[in-house]
Amino acid sequence: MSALIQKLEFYFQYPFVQYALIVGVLIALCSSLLGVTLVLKRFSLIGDGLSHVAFGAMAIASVLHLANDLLLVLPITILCAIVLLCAGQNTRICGDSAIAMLSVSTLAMGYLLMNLFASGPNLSGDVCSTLFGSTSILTLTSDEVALCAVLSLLIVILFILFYNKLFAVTFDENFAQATGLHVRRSNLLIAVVIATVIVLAMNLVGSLLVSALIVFPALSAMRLCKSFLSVTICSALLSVFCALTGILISILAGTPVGSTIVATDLGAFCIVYVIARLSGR
Amino acid sequence: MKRIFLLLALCFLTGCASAAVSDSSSAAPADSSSAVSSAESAHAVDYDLTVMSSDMVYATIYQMITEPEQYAGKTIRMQGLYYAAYAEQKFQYYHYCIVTDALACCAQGIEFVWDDGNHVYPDEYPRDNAPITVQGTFSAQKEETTGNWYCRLENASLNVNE
Repeated sequence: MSALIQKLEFYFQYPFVQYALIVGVLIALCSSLLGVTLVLKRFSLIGDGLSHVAFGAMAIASVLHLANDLLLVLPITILCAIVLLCAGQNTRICGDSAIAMLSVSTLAMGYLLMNLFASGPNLSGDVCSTLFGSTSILTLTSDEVALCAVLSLLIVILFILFYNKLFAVTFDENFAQATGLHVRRSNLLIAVVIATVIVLAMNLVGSLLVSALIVFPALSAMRLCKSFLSVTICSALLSVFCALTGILISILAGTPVGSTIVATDLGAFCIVYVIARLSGR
Repeated sequence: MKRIFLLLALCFLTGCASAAVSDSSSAAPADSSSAVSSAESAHAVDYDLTVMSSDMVYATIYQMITEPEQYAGKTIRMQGLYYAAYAEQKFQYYHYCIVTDALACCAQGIEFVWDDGNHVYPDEYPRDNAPITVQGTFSAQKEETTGNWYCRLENASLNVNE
């Protein structure tokens, strides 16, 4: 045990490990806050769809040789999130069909673009790294950490400020509208925030595994708690704990960071499920 | 951008792993039972990558390539796979220690110069893909025209771990 602690102390001396832990905690926190709303609104798979959109946008940025791909990836992902969340109910192709269509189309187009205009010799490595995260979280620069911190702070502040509106929109949009709430504006806010979270989370777990960060903590928390506030707090705590544990396990054992975090989330869900069953919840 | 930079760095510093294999397919197997060389450095090791997990090794080498100034002059010890690549423009072989990430989809590595660089290839070098341990002094030079960094381990010792 002391050897393990010594090894962790040794690893913590490296700035990139500290960056990984900071960014991991921030992303886990933000994704879990929004996760509760998305799960309750039955938009669990929107994370998957938008992360594929982000992958497609990243491919375009790569083809265009953009110095900072975030400038393109973030607006495109936000735009698609708005289309899915705000216009989804009023179009002919709606709900899960729209998510599925957008998801596979952007994934396919992204891969096609990367193949046609490959920017380097290791295309498969490039794609694999984007899809599964690999060690992206351990290769962050201080600027990227700062950007992530600012965006995360902004998301938390927005969540706290608009908590009541989010609560109303999450459970009953019609009732919220009847009480004079601007439902479309609230959905727009959710769309912008969730797109930002997903673009940030791609660094942590890769685009294929983003949904896990959104869905697992919320579902686990719903097994333990009943009110919206308690579920949100429990979800945030679980998500941060699992992200930290996953990152630490992966750097100690040399396993892929993204899949280790998701495995930790799955493990936590199973434990919580058993606890809830045993306690009769 | 980071990914593009990494790939560029790989092109210049290591080449991609598969390219290195094809370039050096004529490499002869070396004596695998014992240490191939040893100008064992008397310096203390500043960064011992052999005691790190694969994630940490990959991330540390990534840092070395992206921020080479910080590691210049440091003694590095690392484990990886040996590859040789032939540079047609310079009519000479370059030797690399390659590591892969945890998913094994990305590979990166560092060129090393064994002792003073007078060892004969392929007679004295290990076969391609042989697990090796290299220890040497990290050096980084920036090419003014392209702005690319060329990093390598100089005056390195080489051991085959078979």
